[in-house]
Amino acid sequence: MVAGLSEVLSPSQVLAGSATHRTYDCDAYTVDRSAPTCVVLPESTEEVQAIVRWCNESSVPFTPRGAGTGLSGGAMPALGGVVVSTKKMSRILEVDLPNRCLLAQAGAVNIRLSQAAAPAGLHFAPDPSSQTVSTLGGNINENSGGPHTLKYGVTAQHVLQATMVGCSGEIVVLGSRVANGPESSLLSLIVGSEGTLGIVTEAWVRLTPLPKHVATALVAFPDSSSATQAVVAILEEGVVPAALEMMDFNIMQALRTAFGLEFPEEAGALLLVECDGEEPVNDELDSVLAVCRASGAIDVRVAQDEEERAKLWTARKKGIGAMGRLAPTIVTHDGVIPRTRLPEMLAYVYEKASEIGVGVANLFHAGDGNLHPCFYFDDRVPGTIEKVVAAGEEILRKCLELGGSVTGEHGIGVEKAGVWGHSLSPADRDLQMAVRDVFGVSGLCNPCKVLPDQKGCVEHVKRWRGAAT
Amino acid sequence: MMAVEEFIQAVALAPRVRLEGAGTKATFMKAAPQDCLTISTQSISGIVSVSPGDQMVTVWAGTLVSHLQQELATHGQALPLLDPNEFGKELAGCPGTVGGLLAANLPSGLSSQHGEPRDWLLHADVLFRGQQAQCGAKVVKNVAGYDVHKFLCGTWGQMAPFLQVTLKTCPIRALKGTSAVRLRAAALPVWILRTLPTLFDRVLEGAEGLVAHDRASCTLWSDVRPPTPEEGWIIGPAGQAWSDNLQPGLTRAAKLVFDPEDRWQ
Ligand SMILES: Cc1cc2nc3c(=O)[nH]c(=O)nc-3n(C[C@H](O)[C@H](O)[C@H](O)COP(=O)(O)OP(=O)(O)OC[C@H]3O[C@@H](n4cnc5c(N)ncnc54)[C@H](O)[C@@H]3O)c2cc1C
Repeated sequence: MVAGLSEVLSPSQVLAGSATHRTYDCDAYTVDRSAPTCVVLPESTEEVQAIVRWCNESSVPFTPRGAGTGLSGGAMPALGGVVVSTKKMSRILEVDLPNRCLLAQAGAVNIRLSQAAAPAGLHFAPDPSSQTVSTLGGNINENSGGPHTLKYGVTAQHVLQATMVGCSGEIVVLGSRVANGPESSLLSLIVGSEGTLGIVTEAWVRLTPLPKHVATALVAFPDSSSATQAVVAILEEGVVPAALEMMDFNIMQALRTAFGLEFPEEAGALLLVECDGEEPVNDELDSVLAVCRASGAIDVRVAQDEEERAKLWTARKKGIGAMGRLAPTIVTHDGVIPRTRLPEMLAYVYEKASEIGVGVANLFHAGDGNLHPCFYFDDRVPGTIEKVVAAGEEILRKCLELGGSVTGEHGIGVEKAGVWGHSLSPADRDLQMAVRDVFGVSGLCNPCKVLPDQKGCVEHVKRWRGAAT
Repeated sequence: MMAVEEFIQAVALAPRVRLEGAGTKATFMKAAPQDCLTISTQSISGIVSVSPGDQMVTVWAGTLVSHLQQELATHGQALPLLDPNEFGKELAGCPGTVGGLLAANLPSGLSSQHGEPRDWLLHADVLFRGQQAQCGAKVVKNVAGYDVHKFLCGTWGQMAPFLQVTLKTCPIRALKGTSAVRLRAAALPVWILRTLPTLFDRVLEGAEGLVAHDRASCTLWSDVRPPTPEEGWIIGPAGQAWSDNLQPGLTRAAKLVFDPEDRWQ
């Protein structure tokens, strides 16, 4: 395989060996693992095309990979074969400021897009917390969100056109720099497809003006139930903040321990609220804060300048990092519910954690109803990881029961293929599979993801689980 | 039997079907072939649930947009569309039924701030090869599976029609004013063009029969076919459309997969 691919690319663009196998056998979802035979580093759409053609001719599975920060195993080469890394496709190809759009290769890191546009007062709005490393191709394929998704929308709303090498090696250009044309939106099918329909090589994205006015506040509540009730009340009031993020008591404890951050002693939960706009937004923030007080807020800190604003955001941004101090292992789940069901859902999450005797902390996009329960425990204690995985699945089923979804941003990958697959009726499943038929998906392109139907996926599920313990 | 089951049965009996909502956008489509039965979606109408706290509404596809807007207003919510009585049908996105609004996915005078109907669609029950199938989720954020419901917006009922949908609503308080300019009243269909900001002024200067325009979204509406820009797209009467990047091959493949019997006309 290495020899064959070295003829298609240059030998320096093909990696193999045990270190490579270890590095690329999983993404940031480390529970399941499967090593590739080799990793290739193409630099252009044409090179990607050559690789995909070679894989088809040789019947070798291939799996696209950006930065590997995915949290559901999407970039894990489930049936081995070739990992197609976009590491060397990181160039910004064109910045069209007058038309407020930018063309970049799939491997360009999210934050660099905003940096390229910043001098003109523009930015790439999707801001996943992984934005300093995750790539445009990964963001598109996971349809990533971030704290500011509440107001600005997810990646889908910001991608105009994508160039993709399809599963059999054909190059297609989907969408247009002028959005929303008279065609069916094939691009909508690519966004969020988790690398199962082809390899995106470059894309035009929308650039959004940076807001002229920003107002940020960190509000403390006595408990998480009053904080979530405030979230609902704020949106019922008719205000749509740019961000509305929640941190619970255990996150605050982690931040106190890890970074010495200080919060009011009697606080049981925090809400980070940000309002922004072309015009001053102080009134908007005031009405949000009035609702918070009416919902029982016990402390309000409003940022007076940029430095204070950054400080308030530290609580949100460093939350997960701080978790590492609480226990050797953390596993973060991702589920969505209608936000009015948040109080009920959080209660369920705490109950599950205490049932299996592990800790759980919650730091999440409350405005979107997008929960990220983060279990922390010691995986050296036999049986714990299994209990955590099982509790995670129960939480997802509860999300479905409350009318929500099993994933708001991390995707199905291998992690949720079972839970999600079971929630579909045969007709729902057929409708999903129809998409693969439209694109002529062959079974070699990122197998065993989203809706596993390739031979060998079942045995591999067992093997992955085996590798995890 | 439920209205939706009767509707599915009626559709199944006819080999060729043209679906019609309120008929407001019929003239944007090619005339239906002779052997084709027109079936109204207005038998599947009504609001299923409104949740202002979740910014969501679930509604049957045959529901009139005007009726939905009235009901949403009592909850302080709306679909982000201009009022056709005040701004004209074209700037209001040519609304008839909810199903038609999504099937056409036309721009409106609020597009630059609030996007198009596709952006508000969260979940759909569709009729797919004779079966009721669901996609999306009834939450404002979801990445489970392929966004077939979004793909179906703008397919003019030719792939898999919407039966029931859940849409994201906008608090009336958060609706911004429009930057669109209406020059005069006009009958539908009109020509609709969108292009890049750098090309818009030139296109506007060359356009005849202008009805309305919106610089913020670089869209214009006119009675006469506007000049074709270097980049962008045009939608016009009787199914006439142009875009700088149509994908006829994949679109045909999609039609074959979604509607192998060529039922939807
Ligand atoms: C600390 C941390 C914070 C995070 N925060 C967020 C957050 O706030 N919001 C959020 O939505 N996610 C978040 N994530 C998840 C993750 O960062 C996103 O899913 C991100 O978009 C993945 O990008 P990546 O480049 O790492 O892609 P990968 O992990 O490499 O790949 C993700 C998926 O996309 C496919 N893929 C990658 N590139 C291509 C391509 N060019 N063509 C086709 N398919 C491709 C892969 O096959 C895989 O299925 C976070 C992850 C971490 C570790």
